[in-house]
Amino acid sequence: MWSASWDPVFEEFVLQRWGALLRTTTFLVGDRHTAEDVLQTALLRTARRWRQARDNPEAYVRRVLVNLAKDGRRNRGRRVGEAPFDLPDGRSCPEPAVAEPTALEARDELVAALRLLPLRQRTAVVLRYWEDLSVAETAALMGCSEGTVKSSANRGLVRLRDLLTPDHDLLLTRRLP
Amino acid sequence: MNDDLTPFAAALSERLHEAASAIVPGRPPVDVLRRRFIRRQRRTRAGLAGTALAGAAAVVATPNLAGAPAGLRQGQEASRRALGPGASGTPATGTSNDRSAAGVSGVTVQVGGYRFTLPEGFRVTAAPTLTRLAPSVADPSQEGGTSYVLVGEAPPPAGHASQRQITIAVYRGGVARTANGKTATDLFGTTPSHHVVVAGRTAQVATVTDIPVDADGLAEFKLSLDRRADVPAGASCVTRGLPASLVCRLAPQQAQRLGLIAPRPGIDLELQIGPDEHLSVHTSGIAESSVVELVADALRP
Repeated sequence: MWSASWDPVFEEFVLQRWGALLRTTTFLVGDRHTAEDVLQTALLRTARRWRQARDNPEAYVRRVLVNLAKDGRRNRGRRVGEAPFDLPDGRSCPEPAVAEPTALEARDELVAALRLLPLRQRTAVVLRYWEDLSVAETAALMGCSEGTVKSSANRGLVRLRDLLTPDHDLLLTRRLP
Repeated sequence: MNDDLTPFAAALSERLHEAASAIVPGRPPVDVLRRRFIRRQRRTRAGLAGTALAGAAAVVATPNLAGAPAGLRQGQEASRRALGPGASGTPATGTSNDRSAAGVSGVTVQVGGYRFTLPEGFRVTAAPTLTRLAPSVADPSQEGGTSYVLVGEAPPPAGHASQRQITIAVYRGGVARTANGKTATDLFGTTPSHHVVVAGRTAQVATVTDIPVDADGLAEFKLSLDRRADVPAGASCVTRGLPASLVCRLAPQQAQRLGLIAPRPGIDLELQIGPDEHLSVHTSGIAESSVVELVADALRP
């Protein structure tokens, strides 16, 4: 659709929804910086298909994001990872200095735990419990059956519970009256 | 859902929202998106025009095959105009997997997938620090990031006898977006001689060579991008003595004419020098977003 033009409505959509979409993307791909790239690509695709997307742009972007997350998983093997820096005399770079526990650390812990989930489980969990989408909506976005969404979300929850609250009885005790 | 998972699901939802509040989104990159959109449209138009021309020529050429090559040439020419000199009309995406970095010498620093080659002769004189920056320290409006600071000495500029103390700060993450250089001073109690600031993530490997050791105090440096899969290796940018007020938006052809870059197909370079004497280099490949921002501060010896 080469005749598509830049629509101010799309621009307004980006301005309003960038933050929320970036958060979703970060949870989906597990890395803030990758999330920015993935989201830009998703938005660009949306802009180029704006006539199709404008009725429900957020759903359109989410769908593209889910697809890009899958693509990213496939492409990950081709990326160069971070390499530790060694000083010329062989000493290694010190580890990052982490301050006292903060919201940032809590966020990182959660994102890291999400990243350990298989993509389908992670996507189901993020869409269900962060985006608060229904099972049907999640299934439509993921392109799978509702049963698959339920089982993926459940497995993801179990895994996350083990990762985040190894002693999850405490969590239940704390949250239940 | 199993009953025993319900409380955890509720807790997780709450925790996700708390975590989300710690993801500070920053400014939406509307300008970047618009530029990429327009470029993409131009390329697509040119490509389709080429196809249409070729197709028309083929139709016309059915009774006379001699017409086809001319039409094809026009189509290829349209693509070439859109992509820059040297382009064949085929977008240079996903083909090059060359991970080599041209001109690498000296110490190489790799931070978050970015690799920086320090000036030749640069000698580390203090242990490097890799620091996690909290938003409140770096910039309350921005996401925290990672900084990498190297302190060392470099050979003296021509005509100077003494070594120059050089501090190089490499930022990754939201700190880069402040792009004002003051943060490093606040954080480290020293004014880095050079700030290499990286924002965005698509340029997977950025190699900075020849950070200035210039007796005239002119800003001269060379940025080599090696984006592996997306951008052919070896695209480089050299600026020298650009006035502080200059804002350049250069197509590859223009840049080549001015001797500023060695253009490669599929890369747009945009040079901006603001009144604060920060130089920004924005690149856009075809396939991915790409914003690599190089900010050089306090370049004068």
